[in-house]
Amino acid sequence: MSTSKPLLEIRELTKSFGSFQALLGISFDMHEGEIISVLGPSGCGKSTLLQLVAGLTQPDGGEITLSGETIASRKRMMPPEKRGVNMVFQDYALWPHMNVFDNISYGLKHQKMGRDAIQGRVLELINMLHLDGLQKRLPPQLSGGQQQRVAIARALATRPRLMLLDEPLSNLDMRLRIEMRTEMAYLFRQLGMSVFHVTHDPDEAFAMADRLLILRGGKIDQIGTPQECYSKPASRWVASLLGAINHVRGEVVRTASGVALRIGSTILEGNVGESGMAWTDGSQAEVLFRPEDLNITRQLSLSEAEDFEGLSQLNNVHNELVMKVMYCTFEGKRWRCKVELADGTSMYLLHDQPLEPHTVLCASLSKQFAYLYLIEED
Amino acid sequence: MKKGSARYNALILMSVVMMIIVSACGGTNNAVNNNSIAAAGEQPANTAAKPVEVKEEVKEEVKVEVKDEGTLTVYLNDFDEMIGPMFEEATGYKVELVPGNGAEVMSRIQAEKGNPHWDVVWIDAMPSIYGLGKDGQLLEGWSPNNISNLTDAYKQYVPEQQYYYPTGAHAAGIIVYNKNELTAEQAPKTWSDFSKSEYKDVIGMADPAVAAPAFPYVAWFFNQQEMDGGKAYYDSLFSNGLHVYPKNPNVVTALTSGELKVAALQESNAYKMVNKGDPIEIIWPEEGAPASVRVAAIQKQTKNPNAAKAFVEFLLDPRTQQLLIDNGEESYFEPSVKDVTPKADRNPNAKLVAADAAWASEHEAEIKQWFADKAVQ
Amino acid sequence: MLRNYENRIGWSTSLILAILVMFPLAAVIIQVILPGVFFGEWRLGNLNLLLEIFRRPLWQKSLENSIVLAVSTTILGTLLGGILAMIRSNWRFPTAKLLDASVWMLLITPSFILSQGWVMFAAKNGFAVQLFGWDWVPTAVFQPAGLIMVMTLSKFPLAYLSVHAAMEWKVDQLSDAARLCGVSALRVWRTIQAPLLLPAFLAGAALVFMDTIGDFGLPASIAAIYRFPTLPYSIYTAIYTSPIRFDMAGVLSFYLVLLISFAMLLQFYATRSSRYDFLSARAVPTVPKSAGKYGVLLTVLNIIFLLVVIGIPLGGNLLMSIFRTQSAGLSLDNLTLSHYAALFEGRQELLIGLRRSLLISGSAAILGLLVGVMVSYVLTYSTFRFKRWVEVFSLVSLAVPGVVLGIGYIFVWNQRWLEPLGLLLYGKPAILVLAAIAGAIPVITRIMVGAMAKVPRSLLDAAQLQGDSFINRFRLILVPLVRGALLSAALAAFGSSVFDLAVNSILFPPNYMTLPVTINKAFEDLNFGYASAATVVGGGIVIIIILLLELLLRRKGRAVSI
Repeated sequence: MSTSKPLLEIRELTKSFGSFQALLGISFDMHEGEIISVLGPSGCGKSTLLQLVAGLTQPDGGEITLSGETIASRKRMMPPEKRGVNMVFQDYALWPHMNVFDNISYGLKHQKMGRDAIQGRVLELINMLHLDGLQKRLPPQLSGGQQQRVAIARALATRPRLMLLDEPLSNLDMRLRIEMRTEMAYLFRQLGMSVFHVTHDPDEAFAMADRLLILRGGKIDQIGTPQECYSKPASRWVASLLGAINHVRGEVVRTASGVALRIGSTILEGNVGESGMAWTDGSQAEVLFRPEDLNITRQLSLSEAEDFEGLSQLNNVHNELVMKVMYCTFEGKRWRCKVELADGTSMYLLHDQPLEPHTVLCASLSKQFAYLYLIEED
Repeated sequence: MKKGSARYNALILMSVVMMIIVSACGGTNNAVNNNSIAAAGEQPANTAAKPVEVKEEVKEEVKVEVKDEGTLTVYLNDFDEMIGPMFEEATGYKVELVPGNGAEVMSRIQAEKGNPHWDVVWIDAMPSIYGLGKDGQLLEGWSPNNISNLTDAYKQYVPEQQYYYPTGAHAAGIIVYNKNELTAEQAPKTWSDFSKSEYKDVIGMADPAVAAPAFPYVAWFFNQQEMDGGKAYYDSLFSNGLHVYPKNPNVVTALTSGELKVAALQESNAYKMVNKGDPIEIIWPEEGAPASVRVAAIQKQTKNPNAAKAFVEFLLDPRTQQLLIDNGEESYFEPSVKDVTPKADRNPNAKLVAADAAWASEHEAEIKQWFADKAVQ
Repeated sequence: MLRNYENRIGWSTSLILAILVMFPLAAVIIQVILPGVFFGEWRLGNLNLLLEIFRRPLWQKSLENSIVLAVSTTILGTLLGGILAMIRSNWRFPTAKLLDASVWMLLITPSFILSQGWVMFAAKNGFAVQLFGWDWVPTAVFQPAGLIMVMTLSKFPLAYLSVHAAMEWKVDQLSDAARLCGVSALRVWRTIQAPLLLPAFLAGAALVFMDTIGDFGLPASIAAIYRFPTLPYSIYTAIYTSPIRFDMAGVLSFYLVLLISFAMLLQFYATRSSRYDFLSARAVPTVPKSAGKYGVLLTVLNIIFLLVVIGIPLGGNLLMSIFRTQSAGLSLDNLTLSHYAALFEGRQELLIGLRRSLLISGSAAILGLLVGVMVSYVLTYSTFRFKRWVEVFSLVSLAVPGVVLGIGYIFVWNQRWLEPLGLLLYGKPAILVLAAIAGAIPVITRIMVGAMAKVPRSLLDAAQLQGDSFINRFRLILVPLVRGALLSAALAAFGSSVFDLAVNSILFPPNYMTLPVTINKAFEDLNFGYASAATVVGGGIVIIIILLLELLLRRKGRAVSI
């Protein structure tokens, strides 16, 4: 990461709407040429953050600086049109009464560029975004993907210091979404563009971002590279957001090699992230992990399976769970199986073959993929 | 896009231009009028005798006293169709008229009280104008030269403080009946006949709380019989099924439609009906018909005192009143000055009586409210 | 400093509304407390006057009549307008467009002309009795229920337009989901569609209420035949009978404003708890379906309906204008064009007045459009703190009788200190323009708010992020997208202010008679023929101008969908 002066600095930013507190004091830096994806569910404050950076709302407290200049604080408010940022809107916000060319060239006319220069710039963008031949079309006559490209071209046209993307792919179908996110990631990196991107889709964030900023309830839960966030989710909540949808409760046991969870008779060792917290024996905790990290070690014979409960009691292999298959669904490349532990906790595992319902099996989970979190009394 | 924006620019431009035009309209008028005032002094007076004298006196005043600052503005409720050019021709002064019904004129005057725009008011609502005088809004103590033209009866109408001068009067109410429905014998002869049971539910009049001329009409009864007597008289009429219409024209409509057989109707409305061929007979009661006296008064702080005085003098000129009678729309009235002949078909024995202006003015609110509340019960 | 320009436009809009509406109204109401304040007198008024409304029979009756009339008309008018709008947007039938046109005509035609038409029709010697021999009409119309009916038939357009606009887009999914739950079409309508239209119904109802309770034309015209005093009528009497009592007018206006505020509060609370921004990307324009076998029935009903609501009031005027005398009825020798000829004879008062009125309402329409668009912008897009007040004052002039505003205008614009500033507008034609703008704001705002609601905010934000200035965003993005509504609003404002009598009669400058003043004078002098001919000619010219502008400015084709 570069040590140069950051492009965008955000300090203790707060904003509320009536009694609803959208942002509760957010701070982070963003560097030139970096792509940051803000990830979170709806209502987490990510759209508010974007609006604040764009200048479409004013913060209640804190400060936003762009290239060292304060653009927003409680006292100061630089209007959006002066900030040198541009945005791709969720619904694209293409002006329905202007054709593609007019939409893209709109901001350039304001920059007092010559006719030829505008023509050249627009054609360059049209070319770059594969919109050739569509100049004269009106937005309603374009497909969703084309509208998206026009919106990007329009935002790029003014050569903004900072590009804002507001859920840019949410209106596209799955195939187009994968195509566009790859394309955008490539395009923005190639242009060296600084991009501030808001999404609720982790895949989209992973594909685009240099760094992820995970927001929950108006606060930052984690900030880091996608790989960091993926492998070391800072909270139970981040873990489940990033795919660790299986969760099992247990009791904390301290072992020689670290912290483990007792689940039934099984001892399950795992990762504890920043271990500032008190992991005392006997406190309640939870382990989260991804379905794909469960590896089937053995399938039990039918006779053994009859005594599922007993087996679960007896099995004391470290990091191995005994479970019973409920049903499987086909996902193309593999099968997703819903399974149940003896205490009734259900979870998913992935397997390359279908498993018969009621099959009992043992599956292991390696320590590095098991994320342990204390259960907080909310 | 280009075209569109040009059009909207044009629209904005248009609005600005319109605004300018509208405000300029007022402006130009004033400018023209000012010129004509300047010219007025040199214009030879083409009228004879009295107006000339008036003219000369005005001229002197112009030299020694105040100069008129603008155009004479007269608020009036009748004769607006003719008085302007007549006056301008006779005196050389320019005049602007604001016509309206009596109520509108009074309302304007009251609303403008802080900064009056009128110089002369000339309407047939003597008690209301008396009220203005008491309120200190009228020029006092000025006596026109033509005051000597007034008949003795009309000299009586000039109040002590000389707030205003009467220019004529007409009956605010006379008895009319439908001669197809009633014979001359059956018809009422006096006002007290109105309470007779034979006229139950067929008598109508205008509402004094709404119609300006109806107040002087009822005021006379209240003045004559005191408040209680007046209330008793009208209570007897109400219990006899008296119809009350907002204005005199509505009484006319009710008479033609047969809803009414008898009515107390304002004089010129009555004569107009007769002239139109409606089967209507007019009776002038012997005890007299309550009169609506038309008076002219000058605003206390007028900026055009010379023209304003000239206007009042002009109205007290017999020839002016004769012209009003001969050519005016409200021509059925009794002139206030000598040597004027009323309309030939107007009853020569018409007797007009009027409530005392001071008394009527003092009781105006009370009487009107009594009627207004009475009418909804 | 929040979104600077937004606050700036919020404040400037408030200022304009304050000058045009709030100050004049306040000037009248303050008469109750300080009756002489504008004449340099500082004496306290008699506050007991406020309680007089519960004592004086006339005022009591007026309040009672106003409430009965307004509440009943609101209920019936909203139902009528709403149902018509739903029929109109769901089914296609011949003459449907005529319904739209008639609605606009009713909206533009001032109520005194409509009421005169009804009076000419229903009076004892009116056309109903004379031409058709319907002796029952006078008694049927001249009673409270009859007046409520006349009012309903005159005021339903406000509810019609409100509901019709809301039905322009629909989300089929919502109804489809209900249908799939096995529910009948009627129940879907009752449980899904109707509740979704609730805000539109309520908005329409509020407008009908305000327009009815403030209506002066009907009680004034009807009073000639049937005594039905209402609050505006009593206000009028207080102002227009000597001794002039502005304080009484102030008291009654105060109660009128109280009633309006109450209605607005009710509407606000009814819609507050629920969110109805159900329009999503799935919304499609509503296209009326063919009415099939009911098409003929709908057409016939529509024609009968239009004959009543348009035919009676406007037909009354038309017939009156060609009859030599009303009592002679429909016969060849009683037909004459002499009333029309009279318009062009002599001093041609009417033509001069018409020219002035057109000029004034033209200016008022254009300037009013600027104000109305600002108000609508604030209401639609801004987070301006006093937004709700802006909304209230943008509607108040609908409900406050013109005479009250007129008197208020004199108080405000006839103060000596304005003279050196060149702002002593009373007595100048400009004041008529200002008053006409005030009168036009409610209509313009309602139309523009409806149109702007369909333009998502992000379209404007996008332009702003392109670095564009506020004016340009307005000019290049918003205005082209709401062009149609702009035209409708301007034309409606123009049409309705040409005939605005109340304000004109109190404010017209010396030697500056306008069309409505001339017409009213003719009515007062019982020159019904002349008055009607003037109405017909004036109205005809206004309609021709509106149609011409409509043809010139409304760009066909290039459908813009948002």
